[in-house]
Amino acid sequence: MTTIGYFSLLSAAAISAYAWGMSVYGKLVNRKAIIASAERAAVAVGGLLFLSSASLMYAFLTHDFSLEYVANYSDRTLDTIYLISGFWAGNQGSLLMWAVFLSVFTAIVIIQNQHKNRDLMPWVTAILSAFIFFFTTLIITMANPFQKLAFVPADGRGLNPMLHNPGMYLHPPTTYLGYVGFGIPFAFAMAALITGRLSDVWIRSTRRWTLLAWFFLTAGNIVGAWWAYYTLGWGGYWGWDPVENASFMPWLIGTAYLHSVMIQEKKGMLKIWNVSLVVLTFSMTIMGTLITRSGIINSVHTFSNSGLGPYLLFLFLATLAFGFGLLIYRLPLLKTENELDSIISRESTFLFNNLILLGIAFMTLWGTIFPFISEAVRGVKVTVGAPFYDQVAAPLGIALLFLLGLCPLIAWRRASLDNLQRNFLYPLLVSFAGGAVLVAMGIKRPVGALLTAVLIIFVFMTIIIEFYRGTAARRRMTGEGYLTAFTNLIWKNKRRYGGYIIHIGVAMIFLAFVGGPFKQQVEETLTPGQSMNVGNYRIVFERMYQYPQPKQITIAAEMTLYNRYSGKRVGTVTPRKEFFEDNGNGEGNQPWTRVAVRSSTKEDVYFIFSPDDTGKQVAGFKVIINPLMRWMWIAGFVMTFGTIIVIWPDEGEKKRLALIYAREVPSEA
Amino acid sequence: MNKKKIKLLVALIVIIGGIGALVYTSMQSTVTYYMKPSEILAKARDDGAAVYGERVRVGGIVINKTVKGNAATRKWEFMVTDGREDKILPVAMVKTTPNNRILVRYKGIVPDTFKEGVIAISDGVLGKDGVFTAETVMAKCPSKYEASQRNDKEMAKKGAADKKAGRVAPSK
Amino acid sequence: MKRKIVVIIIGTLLLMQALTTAAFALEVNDVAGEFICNCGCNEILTSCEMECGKRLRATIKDKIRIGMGKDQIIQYMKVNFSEALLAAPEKTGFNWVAWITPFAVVILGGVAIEQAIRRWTGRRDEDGDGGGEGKAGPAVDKKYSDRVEAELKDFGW
Repeated sequence: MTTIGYFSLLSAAAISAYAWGMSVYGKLVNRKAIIASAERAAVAVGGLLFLSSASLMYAFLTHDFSLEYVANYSDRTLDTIYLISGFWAGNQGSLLMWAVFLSVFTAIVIIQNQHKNRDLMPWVTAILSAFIFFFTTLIITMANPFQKLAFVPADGRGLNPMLHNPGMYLHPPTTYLGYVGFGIPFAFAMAALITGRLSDVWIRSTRRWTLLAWFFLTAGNIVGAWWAYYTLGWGGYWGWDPVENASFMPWLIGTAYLHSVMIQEKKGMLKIWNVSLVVLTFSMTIMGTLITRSGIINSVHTFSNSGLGPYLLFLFLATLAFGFGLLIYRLPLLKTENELDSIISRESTFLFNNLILLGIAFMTLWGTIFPFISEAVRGVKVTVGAPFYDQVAAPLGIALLFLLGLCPLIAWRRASLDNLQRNFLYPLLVSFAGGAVLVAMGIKRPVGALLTAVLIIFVFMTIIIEFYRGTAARRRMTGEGYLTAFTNLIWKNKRRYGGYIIHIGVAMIFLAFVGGPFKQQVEETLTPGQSMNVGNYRIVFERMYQYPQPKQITIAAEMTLYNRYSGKRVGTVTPRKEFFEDNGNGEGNQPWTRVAVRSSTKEDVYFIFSPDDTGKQVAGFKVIINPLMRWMWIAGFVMTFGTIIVIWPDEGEKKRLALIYAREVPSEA
Repeated sequence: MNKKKIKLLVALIVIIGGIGALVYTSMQSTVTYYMKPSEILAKARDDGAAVYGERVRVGGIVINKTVKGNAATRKWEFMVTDGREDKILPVAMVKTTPNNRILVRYKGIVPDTFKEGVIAISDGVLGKDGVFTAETVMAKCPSKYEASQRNDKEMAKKGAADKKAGRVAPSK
Repeated sequence: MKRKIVVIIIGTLLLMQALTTAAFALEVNDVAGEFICNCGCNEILTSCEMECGKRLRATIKDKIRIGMGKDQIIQYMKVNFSEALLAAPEKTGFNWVAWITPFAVVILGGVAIEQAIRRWTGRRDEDGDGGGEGKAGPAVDKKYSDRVEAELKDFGW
């Protein structure tokens, strides 16, 4: 079985080279048969890598420890879901995952475009196949998941206990789907540059791919934060770790790209800008892969010094060079007559949106490299950590939030100042009223949090009013009931109202941020029966006990929470600490903290339990209150829901696109 | 191709080269980028000239009972052996062989965290006699969320003993 | 008028940046929040559960006990351990570059956008109501009525 896996991997590498070469050759000599052959080859590569991945998956599921990779990352006690996720636990498998995702996407793109974009497709196939060739070759030569062991061990080493939770099977695949997905608009952009076909057909053809990639990257980042929160057990969800930053930057640039292509669709402007953004986004996803896979940075994501670093660095630089080089080459064709109807228009707010998003991306990049700059200039290495990012991002985030609220109020092309003032006033007044209420409640510092809260109300208001207006207008015209009108409003304007839903999700993320400065933390050592006070809670340490599990011993503490003032019982939690058995490798027991969280929309009460080392019935407890934390996860669902609506196929849009394709220069190569 | 394009292309190459250099040097200089004792010894066997006398970075777990020296004299001597990063790092009970351990000699201040069982990363020179003379020594916490290793080992031993004796609480 | 608004906005942002949170009786975690754990785990000292973190927090606790203020403790730690122990660069000397640069970039970008928008709106004059802010709509012109038609179609009419 694994020989099938290995040989399909080898074949995939060879055939992707064929697809790459023949696409280019066929296009240059203008022979459809050759191009078609190359396309079939690329589709075959997708199938082969799928087969290869399936066989690796099979090896995990059947405990095939003859494979070094399987032996290193699984054992017989693992649940099926963790056997599956063992696939991407190490370099070999996760690179294979990159390759299979990219090749399957490529196959789908080819099939989708059998009768469209014929002028662009050979280049798209060539570029994507080149990347696939690079990855498969890298895997075969440096990170082969099908590497066999000289002997077959009786049992594997097991999966790192840190990875035994849902984050492990959710975060890597979604993030990688996001990374890989941006390769498609990148390839189309490059094809458009190469062929000189620079109308926005390439953008419209890849719009859903871009949205899909964005969807997965958003989900991947949020799941990553969720995983950090519940598993890493330090009470937070984002540490401005260079690896987190490496995943944040493509998301920011991708979001900017998503918005500014809309300007190109409406006004044919910003072609150079959009191509630059998509090149940057995709390059940063490769940078993200580089940082995660090469061990450059010491962090949760660090893997062994794999030697992959220089090659991935090369790929990153090559992608940048190729993308921007082509852009420069085609510069004359890209310049447009730029015209905006009005200073106050959605187009201009989008430009500022781009400014802020890229500003935050720059801040992230800058913070990551500044220690090296400091070392070069002063000879002293400084640390750039959370306090830097928090302070710099805060004003930028607030500006972004303001734009978010402004968005529904300002129409495309032109908004009259009168109109704007009228639409602006009511929500603004309500937000200030809300702010006044907060101040009256005693919440006035830090000022940033207060301002953020006021703006969140502003955003909610403008969006809700927009939904209301739309529904009311529709009702007037169609006589539908409120609910029907509301649903139809959204359904017949998926892009706009789906987008508003996503924006509400973003406002919710800011709501979670608002809770941050109000975090409380108390540490105490208790014996059973004793209690501690944190925030509005009195927490009683009831008892401590332990029990065995496969390969580990767990010590648990039972805690009961009461309302500190009313005495009312709120609930119980059971934080744990796990100790793992010596697995015969000479590796001693490493303890793992399993936090317990009591969560409500108002706040999270977060427990870290440290049993005493003398075995006596006494333990240290760290209890953290994270206000409004849950809104981060609610936001994740809202944004997911909104994105699905935006991506959903739309009949009206299909008709409009058909007209555009018909109007375009004949699509035969 | 006109002049403007050429100028821009040159600028692009310079910028990308600069980025590459920046990232590459940062790759070299961070704490995790080091060789294990077994790797450096193997490399020395293959190509001695490239290794002996050259400044390299070696990282390994400090072996139990091999630490000699103190903060007063600031003269240290200890042995390091291969650690594993793809798993949570083990306490120093690893079987060592002459092929995967190195004697390190160091004059200076060791970090707070330096002790048996942690990963010590040393920059310095490997001599032909097999002794590594370190210019700097850094210590790395084996994993993010460990309490004192020795204490947890005791804790775990007790847990194992409890389990053997059947002294376990009802599971949840 | 626009410039005044821009200045006010930027001023507010910078002011916010400078405002610090209210001062409480000095607690270990207030000070610890300024540092990062020195064993390379990249955690803010308040969250670090390792020996290195506990030891550093104990040092801080000791210094608070003998009456040192927050800034004094920060300087002490910086000198006796390393500047890299601080979780973010101090706002002194060269390190100002770290803090200013992102804002400088954003402000420059903002100016560039403002110039670009000016350039791009100056040219067009289709409706004869001049460049810049669109005034309240004049008599309905074909462009708008076409759009209304299109949107009515979207509603299913």
